[in-house]
Amino acid sequence: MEPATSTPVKVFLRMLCATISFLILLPSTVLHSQPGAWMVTGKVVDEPGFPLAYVSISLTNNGLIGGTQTDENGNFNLPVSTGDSLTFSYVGYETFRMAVGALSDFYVTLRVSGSILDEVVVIGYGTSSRRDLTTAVAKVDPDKIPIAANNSIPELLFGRAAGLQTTLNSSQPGGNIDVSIRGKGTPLLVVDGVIYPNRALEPDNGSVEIQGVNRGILAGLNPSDIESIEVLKDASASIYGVSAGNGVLLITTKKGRAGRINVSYDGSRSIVQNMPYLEPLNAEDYMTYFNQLSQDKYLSDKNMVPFGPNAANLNAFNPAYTAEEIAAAGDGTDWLGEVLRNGSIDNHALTVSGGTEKVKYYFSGSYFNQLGTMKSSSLRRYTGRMNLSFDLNRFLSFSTQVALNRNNYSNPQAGWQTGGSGSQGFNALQAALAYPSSVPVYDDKGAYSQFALTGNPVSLLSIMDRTNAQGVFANLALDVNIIPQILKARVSYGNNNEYALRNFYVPSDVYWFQVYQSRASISEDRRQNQTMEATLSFTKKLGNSLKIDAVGGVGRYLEDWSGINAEASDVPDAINIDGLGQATGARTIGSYRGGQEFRSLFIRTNFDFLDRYILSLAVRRDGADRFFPNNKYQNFPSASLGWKLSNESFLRNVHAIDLLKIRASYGLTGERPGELAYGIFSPDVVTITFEDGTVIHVPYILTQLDNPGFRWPINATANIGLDFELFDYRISGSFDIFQEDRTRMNIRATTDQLSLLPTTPINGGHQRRSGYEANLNINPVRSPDFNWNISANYTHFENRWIERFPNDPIPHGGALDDPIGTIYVFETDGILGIDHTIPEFQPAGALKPGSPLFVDQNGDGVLDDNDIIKYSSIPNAIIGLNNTFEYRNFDLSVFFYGQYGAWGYDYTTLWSDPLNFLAQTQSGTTGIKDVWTTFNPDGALPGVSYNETTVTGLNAGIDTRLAKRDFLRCRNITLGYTFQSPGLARYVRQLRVFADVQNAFILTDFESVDPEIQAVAIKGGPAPYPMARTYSLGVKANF
Amino acid sequence: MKNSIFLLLLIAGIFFTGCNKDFDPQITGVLSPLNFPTTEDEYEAYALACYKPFGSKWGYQSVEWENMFFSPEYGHLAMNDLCGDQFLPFTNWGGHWEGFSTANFTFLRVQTLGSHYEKVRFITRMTKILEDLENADVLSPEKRDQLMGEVRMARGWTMFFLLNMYGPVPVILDPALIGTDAEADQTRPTEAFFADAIAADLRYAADHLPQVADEYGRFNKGLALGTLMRHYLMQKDWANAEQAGRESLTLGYSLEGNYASLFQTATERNNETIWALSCDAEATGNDLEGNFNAWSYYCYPNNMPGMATGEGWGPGIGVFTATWDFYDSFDDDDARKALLVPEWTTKNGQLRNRDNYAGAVVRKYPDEDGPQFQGNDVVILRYADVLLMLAEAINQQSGPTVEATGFVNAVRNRAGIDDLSAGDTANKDAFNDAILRERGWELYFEGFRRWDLVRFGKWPSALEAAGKTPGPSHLFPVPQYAIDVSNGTLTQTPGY
Repeated sequence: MEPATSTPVKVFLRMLCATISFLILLPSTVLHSQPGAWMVTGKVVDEPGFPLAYVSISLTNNGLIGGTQTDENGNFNLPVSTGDSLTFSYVGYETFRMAVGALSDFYVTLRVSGSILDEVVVIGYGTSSRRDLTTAVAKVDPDKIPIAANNSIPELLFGRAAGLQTTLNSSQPGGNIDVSIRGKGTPLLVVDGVIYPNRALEPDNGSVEIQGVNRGILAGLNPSDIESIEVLKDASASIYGVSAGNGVLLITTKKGRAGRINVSYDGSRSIVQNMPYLEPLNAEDYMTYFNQLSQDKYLSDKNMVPFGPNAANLNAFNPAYTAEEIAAAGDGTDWLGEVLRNGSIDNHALTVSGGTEKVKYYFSGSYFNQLGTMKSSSLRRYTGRMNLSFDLNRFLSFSTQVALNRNNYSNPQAGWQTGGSGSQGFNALQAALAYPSSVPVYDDKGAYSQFALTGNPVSLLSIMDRTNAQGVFANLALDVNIIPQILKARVSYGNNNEYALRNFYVPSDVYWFQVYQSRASISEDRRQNQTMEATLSFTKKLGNSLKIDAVGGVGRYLEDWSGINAEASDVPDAINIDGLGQATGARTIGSYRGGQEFRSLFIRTNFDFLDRYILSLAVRRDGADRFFPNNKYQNFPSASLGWKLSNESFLRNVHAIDLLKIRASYGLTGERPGELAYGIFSPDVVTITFEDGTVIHVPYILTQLDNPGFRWPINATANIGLDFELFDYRISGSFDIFQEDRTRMNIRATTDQLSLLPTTPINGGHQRRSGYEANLNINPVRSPDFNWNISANYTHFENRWIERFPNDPIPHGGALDDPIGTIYVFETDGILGIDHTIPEFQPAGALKPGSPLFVDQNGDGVLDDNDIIKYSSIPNAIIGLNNTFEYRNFDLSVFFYGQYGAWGYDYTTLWSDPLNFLAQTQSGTTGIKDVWTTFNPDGALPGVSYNETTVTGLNAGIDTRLAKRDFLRCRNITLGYTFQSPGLARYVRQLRVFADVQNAFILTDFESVDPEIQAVAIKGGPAPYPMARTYSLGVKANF
Repeated sequence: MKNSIFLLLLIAGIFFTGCNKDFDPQITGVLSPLNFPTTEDEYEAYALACYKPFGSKWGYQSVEWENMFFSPEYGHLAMNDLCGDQFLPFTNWGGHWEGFSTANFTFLRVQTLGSHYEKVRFITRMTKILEDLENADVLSPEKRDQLMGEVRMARGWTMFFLLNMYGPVPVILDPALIGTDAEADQTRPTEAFFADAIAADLRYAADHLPQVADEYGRFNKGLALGTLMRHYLMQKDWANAEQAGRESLTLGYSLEGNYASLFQTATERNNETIWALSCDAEATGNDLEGNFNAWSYYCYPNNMPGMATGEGWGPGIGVFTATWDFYDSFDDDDARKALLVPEWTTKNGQLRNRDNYAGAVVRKYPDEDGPQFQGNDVVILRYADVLLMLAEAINQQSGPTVEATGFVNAVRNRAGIDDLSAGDTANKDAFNDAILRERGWELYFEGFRRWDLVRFGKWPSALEAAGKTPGPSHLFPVPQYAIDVSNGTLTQTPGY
């Protein structure tokens, strides 16, 4: 895009060349009496036929003699002479060179470059090319990712970029996906320059403890509208100092381009099937194992042989089930089948885009309808988008992006109860695991059967739990070209406004929480993020050797939020949530409101010297309203340096090396502070009531003191990277090594033991994160018919304590600088059998047969802190691997991601805990069969005589529920076919059909639901939403 | 060029200052220490935080989730009654229920920031509130007396609970120490110092609280005196205990005729109950609601049909189940025995009694209302207890006087049984034993048994006789966490 004609040097050179050639060629010209020069005109377009503006065209004839660039409609004209050749170059496209010959009219099609070094990278307040980048920025191109079954941006990110950790938290429709950069917290989200909230907006359902919702971020964006996603990992994020401590995810939406109208349609239909889930015991096994386990429990409680010294006497033991009952039981009810189903997804998106010289537009609408794999769970989403830009005149242009979305969820009855309740608070999926298969769905009278304290799983499905969320995103920007191509100003305003309503209703005929009572709750949440920025950018080439790019600006970032909720019981079912005023039972109301503001100033300057050395300096000064005036502002400087070795004379002629660049960066970022520096008297949430609850006092308690010294946290990030592209871009990639120090962290710390306040905001702690990451792209086969691309990425990081927070003692068995997330446990190995001698170090509470055998690591005969061992809950490595094959019109891609080295507690094993099973409030999973009993002395799980919660005196946990969370998941297998028939082309410019299997298979030793899905320790046991496999068929057409 | 320099200077200037105009934080939904509390009502709202640990709700969020003294979990009945000789061990749920019920408190050592030990912070908060009340000009003398009486009641009673859980614990009673390094010093004071501080607070409360609170459920003079008496008894300061007891006698309380009526919603306010947790039948343990009574869920097994609310939670056996020995120890005519259920029918129609059930079901708080939990007030102090305590104090000093035996006989006669036998009143020791026995019958499931057994020297012998194997101490271990952060100042409770 360089304005070749405008620089005096070029003009001078061109004149010089022209003069020389005139002098040299003059005789022959005269001799042949032909015209020496003529004007050519032409047009440059991309493969789909869109004009390309500002393509550099250089004219050569044994040496550079001139050039021009295309205008906004892709047209150009310039004088040529015989023997000249033209070179067309444009960022992101392959350079094209052709001889002029005798042509006077050109129509040039540029192909998208296979070289990643040419790709445009959005870096915050500007763009760069990968070739020129001096910082660690990863780019994810959604066009290359199958989106049929995906409703959100995070779903596109699994394993797609080095340094990006994406973990599926909940597989429910619209479920939460944790996105983090190098294992930090949720990054700052910036969509078309507007700050987006980085947590889901999800109203709760009052005090009701049934809560299956775990919503993901960015629910309002349609994945097919996304042009690119950039991940700023290192000091590159400093330009977003305002809260870039966790890195930045820059999301850019598609824009219209000048040229003919482009209409495209993306549609797909998917079938969703549950992956293997927890397996309940059938009726016969339930009864058999219940009898066996309760007999052991009887013996153990009475300290009878083999559990104690007393003689075994089962005369008073009455088995719950007779042999006849067991024989007649069979499989019984398939409770999971009663609440689970096959799901489906319909996904349609229509886009109209195009434009003229002055106006460019992009309109899109989408519809996404997912029926969840759990009954009553669904997601229906509508989105609409309008991106427009107007060039008002030479100096002024105006652009806007407006997007609307509406997400209607029917929330699943899966997950776990939120409070401390037991099986009376179970949701439908938990209830399906809790109900023994021996219980029928309906009782003799045709009513729902009822087991123990839990509601009937099928009846629980009739609880209404709906969330309607909607959002409006609008961004307006005015660009002023003060000095065209050199100085540009931009003023922008962005507003993201979200609203969500949750309606929850338990009908009066549903037994839940041990009563038949109607319970209703309505909650409304609203929030708004406003981004106001003004920037000035400057680009100038000084002489031949130095190019300066600078951008500076100011910004204000406003957030506000509010909500109300109302809850009532004993509402008539016919009225339900539509008339809470009709409730005769207890009522609760609540509301909240709040807001905060950040202000920023920022400058970034890039110096590109001789196309070899690139220096980028940036500083941002951020202010937060929540600090005292003298501490509101903090400077966040950063610097980065790139050295293009391949442009040095000693490497320039090594043809194998297309690019070799070393870069280094160092910078400070601040994390958005969550705590307030000002003193507060809060209304206590614990009301004080008298007179049988009729007199209610709300005490006000001092919860925070003025803290004038409280200030911004500082994260210092250093990164060294290498970018390379070799052998005509057959091999390319990058490698980064980094270290980040988090200091002055803003947390709410536990105070000293006798303090007035239990916790107080402080600046404290020091954590050091370090690691490395690599990505590699290989193109082993490249031919007109067959093309094979491999892309792989690898991420490793660790995060250690350097200095812990106050009153946060080092865990027993740990060291000061242990990695954050270390799990400290005592190891157990096998089960204490009947004939085993009990080791002397075996702790109290684990002395009877059936207890796990503890391991005395150092063999000193005592189980103490020295025997505690450590496991990491953070993966040692996160990997992504994609293979793409293109054969003629077929394309096949196979994509894997995975992790290894992480451990975690698998709390779904609570469903095979014999004591939960014997509590008579829940059935169990087939894991019960592996419990050690006197009937099953080879069982590997602890027996009924052992209760982990009563093993006393240990300063750390026990490893019996710990599981390795290594896995390699085949996320997508996609086969596509692109039609290329001339007949068809008259109607459809581009037509591709594809089939995709998402989550095709997983390689893992993890035994229960899924190694990625988290489930918490909860009374009874958690029932996370099942993992699913999706088969999709789809079409993509461009008209 | 000049312009550029000017621009650079301007930018540099902005970078060193930033814009602070209209840049104050929006602080919503809360009040500021700059202007709160100022009015009398605000001081009352400020002082009422003193009731926080004395509710019957699931608990509250402090550093971590913390229980109230009368919460179902880790509350007075779990801490003092479940561990005693009258109730069976409950091993089905493990954890704290098993720990308390077996009278082995070792498990409490691995608690972190959710233990009752955290209430040492509450003491500091009360000290601060007392200072602010004292300096509040806006308060009328009567209001100041009442509020300071309530706050000192809360502080003294909390310290009483802590003393009888952990022994003396570090506390801040001098407001000048707040905000100083003293907050990190966890050196335990002497028991004498700590006991005196409790007595001073409760004495102040007794002298300043009204005899009848203007809202039922607020602290009153009788509660302060009764607690003070119990504190003196625990300290074996019999003379002061007697004096506090005699003061209580002058307050006009009397025994109700019907023992069972004390625990029923309709008759929960009466002339015997000195202080009770005023419960709301609609409450579910949520912090925003009133106090709740969840005891039927902990007493009934999960296959026993409830009366008004659902079945209990205990798996086939109630969490609190009275031993058959305790059941059998009652006189058959004893009205107090009738609140233990020896025979009942399961939801499936099976008969349960001593042939196939481990003990008697406790139905002291019958589930007469609903919908989910009950509204029966939970009795914390009543006149019968005062009479028995006074008899104990007198006996320890003067032996079984007519007056002292009369107090015990009054309690017995109300329950429908005869006076104590001559043997029971033959001498000081015999009478002392009779008083403990009477306290067991009269006050079971009211949250005193561990203290009583300790005071009467029957811990651990009474437990061993009941088949339990108690842990190393009747006191609780302080959490290891607190020792770890104490920089060596906090010592573990002896025995752990």
